[in-house]
Amino acid sequence: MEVLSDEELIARYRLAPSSEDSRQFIDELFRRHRTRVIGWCHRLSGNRDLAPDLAQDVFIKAYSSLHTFRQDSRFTTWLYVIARNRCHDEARARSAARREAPDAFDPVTAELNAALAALDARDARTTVQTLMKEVLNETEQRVMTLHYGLEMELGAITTALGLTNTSGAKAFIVSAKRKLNVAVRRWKMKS
Amino acid sequence: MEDEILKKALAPGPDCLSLEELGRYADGALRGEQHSAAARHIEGCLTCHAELALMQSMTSPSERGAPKRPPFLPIAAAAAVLLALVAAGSYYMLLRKAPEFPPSIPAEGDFTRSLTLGVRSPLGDQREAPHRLEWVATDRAIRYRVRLLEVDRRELWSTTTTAAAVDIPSTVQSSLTPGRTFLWEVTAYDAADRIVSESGRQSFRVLPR
Repeated sequence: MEVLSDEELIARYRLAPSSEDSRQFIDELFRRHRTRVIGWCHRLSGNRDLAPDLAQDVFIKAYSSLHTFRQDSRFTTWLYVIARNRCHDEARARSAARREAPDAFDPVTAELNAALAALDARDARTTVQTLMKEVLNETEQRVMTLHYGLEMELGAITTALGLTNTSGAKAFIVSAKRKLNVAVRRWKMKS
Repeated sequence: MEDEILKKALAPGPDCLSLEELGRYADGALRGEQHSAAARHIEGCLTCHAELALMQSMTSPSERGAPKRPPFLPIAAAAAVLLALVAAGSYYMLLRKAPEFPPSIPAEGDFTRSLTLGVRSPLGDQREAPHRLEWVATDRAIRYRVRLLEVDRRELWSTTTTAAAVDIPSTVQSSLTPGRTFLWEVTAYDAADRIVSESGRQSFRVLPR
């Protein structure tokens, strides 16, 4: 039997998208990626129970947007972008419903608050990112960026990065904030 | 306040690449100045760097748990029933049916070190000095260390990148003179800064003019 690439399946489907035969191509395409997409949704949401439902949404979106696939990247990448956006929307909706325990970091937070407040009037983006690169290791940088910049929940970051320490991403946030706190104070003294 | 400052500092900015652009960058679909500009931005931007690394860890061809390409079989009777549902506009319902769940995400320690990182180019004889090194993205790799060497193992140039390709700076490219052989190697690192795969030493020769 002929083995077609993802892109070939899409090309054949596009020849006659409304025909019954062409459905075979799209079904094969989605069947091929089903396990992968559920895995992505698990890792991006950190929620195993939610992953199948999120994956379902991803395929519905992919099906309705297939005409926008330009073939200038891999189908897998295109599908991942849909999954990433869906999981991001889900995370935002959930964080709006409940705030993620900032109290857990209170001892460090109070001190850091005051120090970082001074950055507000400056180019916070450049300064904070520069300080992060200077004092944080790569995992800390990644965890902080995914959490604060890309709005991923800590549980999702733990799963996505495969962190196996006891408290997962949370431990990296705490250690990163401590280091950043020291760096900000040093930066303040210099300036 | 503190969280707000961090969010402001790390949220995607106006110059950041969209997910789609990052995807094209990761797949090597950007060329020339477009690619260089994207690479420069990603190198300096923690936000794009993190998003790209996340994407690459999930979509690399060797992604763990990725389904194997099966032969395209004729539709069985059960599938025909499902297709009928699709035709009736019930695709939503089709997808609702008993999703197959993947094996649980393996613990970090479950991953074994891959010995070989596949390289794409340059390999063997080259008509001109190459301007780019390309390799195959590796599962779980969040960065790659690339080294370009003389045949005596003296390092000509090295860099670190999150992409599965890197442009050779023009100053280095000009030192890749005709008639000589050069070596290059790539090492992939995961989020814990451990080596996940290595290319071993590869070689290319710039043909004499």
